[in-house]
Amino acid sequence: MTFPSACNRVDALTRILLTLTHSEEAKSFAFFDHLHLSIKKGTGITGFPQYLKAVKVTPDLHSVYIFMRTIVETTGRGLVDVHYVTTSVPGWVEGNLEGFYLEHSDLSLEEVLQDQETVYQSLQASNRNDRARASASGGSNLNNGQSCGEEQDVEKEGESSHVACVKSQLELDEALAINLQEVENQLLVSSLGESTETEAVNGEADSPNTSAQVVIQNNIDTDNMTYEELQLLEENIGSESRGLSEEVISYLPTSKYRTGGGFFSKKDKTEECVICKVTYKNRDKLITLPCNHPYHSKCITHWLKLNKACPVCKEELQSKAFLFSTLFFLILFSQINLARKEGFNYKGDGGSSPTKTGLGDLPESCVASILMYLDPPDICKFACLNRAFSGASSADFVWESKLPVNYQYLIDKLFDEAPVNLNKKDIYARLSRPNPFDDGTKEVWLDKSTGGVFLLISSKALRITGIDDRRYWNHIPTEESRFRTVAYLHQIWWFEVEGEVEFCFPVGTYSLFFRLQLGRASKRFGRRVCNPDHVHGWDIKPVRFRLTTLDGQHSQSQYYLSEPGNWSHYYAGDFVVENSNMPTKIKFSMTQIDCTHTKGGLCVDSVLICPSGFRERLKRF
Amino acid sequence: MSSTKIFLKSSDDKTFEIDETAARASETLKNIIDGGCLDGVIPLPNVSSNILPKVIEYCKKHGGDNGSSKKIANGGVDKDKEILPDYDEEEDKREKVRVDELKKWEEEYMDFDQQVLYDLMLAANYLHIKGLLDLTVEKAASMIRGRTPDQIRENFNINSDFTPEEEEEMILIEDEWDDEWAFD
Repeated sequence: MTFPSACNRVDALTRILLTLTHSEEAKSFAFFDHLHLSIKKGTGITGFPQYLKAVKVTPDLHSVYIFMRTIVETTGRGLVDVHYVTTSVPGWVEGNLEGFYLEHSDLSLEEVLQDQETVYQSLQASNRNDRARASASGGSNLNNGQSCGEEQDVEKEGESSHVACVKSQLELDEALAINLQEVENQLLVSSLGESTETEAVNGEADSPNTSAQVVIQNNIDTDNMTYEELQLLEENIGSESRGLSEEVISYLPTSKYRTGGGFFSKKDKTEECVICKVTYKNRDKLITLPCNHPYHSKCITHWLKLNKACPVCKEELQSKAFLFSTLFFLILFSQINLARKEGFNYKGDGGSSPTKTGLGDLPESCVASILMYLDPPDICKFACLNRAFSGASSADFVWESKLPVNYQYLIDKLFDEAPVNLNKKDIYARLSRPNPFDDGTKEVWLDKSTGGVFLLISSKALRITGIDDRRYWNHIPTEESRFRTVAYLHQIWWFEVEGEVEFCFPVGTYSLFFRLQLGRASKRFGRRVCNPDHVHGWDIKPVRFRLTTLDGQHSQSQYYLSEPGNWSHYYAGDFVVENSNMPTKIKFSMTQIDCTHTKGGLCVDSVLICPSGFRERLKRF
Repeated sequence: MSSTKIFLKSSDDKTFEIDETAARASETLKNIIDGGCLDGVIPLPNVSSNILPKVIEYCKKHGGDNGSSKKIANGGVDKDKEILPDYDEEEDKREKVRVDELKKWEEEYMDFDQQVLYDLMLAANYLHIKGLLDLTVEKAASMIRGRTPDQIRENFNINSDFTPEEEEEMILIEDEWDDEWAFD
């Protein structure tokens, strides 16, 4: 282990997975200042900030977060999980620590803390260009590397027992404790000075590049290093080489370009990669630099190899050495916290390492049973948790229970050719897209959470009295309809729209709605405007909505149409399906045939049939 | 018949006693008993001594009365209704009270931490105790429902065991699903 100390640190870091960095709070986690925030959320590290005060955060510490996260991810194996207690236990850190460390008499909080402090101080010291202490702090770093190796072994055994890791680390640390004590004594003076000198330290840290470099210079002997080590060092210092190595670039977070996505979303601006001048296509792999400028990952990788500054704003990517040193602190503290947490939760059983079963250790069959209780979107999301989840989330029997009972009918009806080799999950996915049938005048899809069947009937499939007479009715194209067309009524005396459908619905109660809008919407200068010119006659008499089924169910309702410019779902009624394999024939109509006045200015989009559980959600939105 | 005792040995060599009727709640044990392999102690190498009493407790509660445990398992639908000729309202009422009691008992029974839950789930899986498996699985599902995978990783200590390539693939697949469902 003759790595330069800076690399060792990186090593030490890389072996620890800060799960918190994955979470949504992670963004705030990036800022040490903000760390307070996530701590407040109940992580229980109350002692944290005081140790980190000395690390001044530059405005783009966003990049710390990024590096942290990716470092962790790329080293994949042998990671130590750091989990924070989610239930807040105020003050327990101070309160319980001693007890814990007494219980496990081979551990000593003091030692850990001392160790942290020593390293911390040695860093401080090196910040002050104190060469005398360099060797000692180098030693402690080396030790850190070793112990992390130990951790890795423990983890490889498939143990999730963090205590063991921490212990082994601590035991190793103990061996060096004497060394460290010495260092600490040396440092005592300076550490005493520190509390009053925080400002000064902050000031120093303001120029992270220099201070971080100093750290490295202090701790390494470049003459004895191999070429690879030198390269590593160079990578970590970064400031001398103008470009970045591929490895470092690989730490940058990638994302996928998304074109709008939503059904009604508008794509008004096209973005392009300034390097290749090509417009981003959906799912292009992008890299966004810490300065928030996105590029094609290929383009920017090429660029960064030559020059580490952002092509647009010339902002240099942060010196990694600095990032690593700040990360180092972070990790150390998470380790302490880990030890504390384990001590808090873990009921000691005389040192025999317990095999703790976690959610992640369950066999696929159990996971599959769990998934049966979840919604399909959740099932899909959880596939990425681990292999068991991934396997279970494609299990046919899980999806069979999510599919409607008569899905075979749906497949026959909706798919042109019977799909081969589709597993149930894929069938579900395909069915939950809108599937047109009857020449595209009707669509069926499954609600992706509940598997409920939705049926939408276009205005084209409705019988509208007078539809062929251009004086009364028009079909007008619009983006606001799934069928891209609606029937628009100028004016008429006899308003009658009816239709029918025959379909095998799964057993249940269904509601039928008419999707209507008063007034005609269009786009002016990119904004939606509604022309209410023709709207008249709807407040005199209500429109009557009717629904009958062939097996004798009736239902009707009436409304005065209102709210010009908004699409509304007018509820016609419910019907019950008792046999999933018998087609239900439904007739529905919408009439206002009082010929004493004319009515007009109405858009008729579609008729929607959905499980009545959705009624409240749909009614008038 | 109810007096027949069966001895179960946990993974850490502790022996527990259970009535045969209770043991029959477990498919695995039932098969062992019916298969006539009942000489002495049944070793259960997958169940530890702190979980086994919990399992036995469940079996005791459910082993005796198969009817009502089935009721719970079937979500309250009583399949025996048609079979029982001497079925009357009085019986129905008593049955209902019993089911309610059982539900309450289950609620109390299920009051333990995650660790026990997983072990219990594994034990139920291994011993094929459908009712217990359903109970535990449902509880686990309610714990993770509606959370993001990251939250779950964080809260439940899950390490991803994918290789980086697989990870990338997962993300791709997930994206595709997102796209497929991007219509509303």
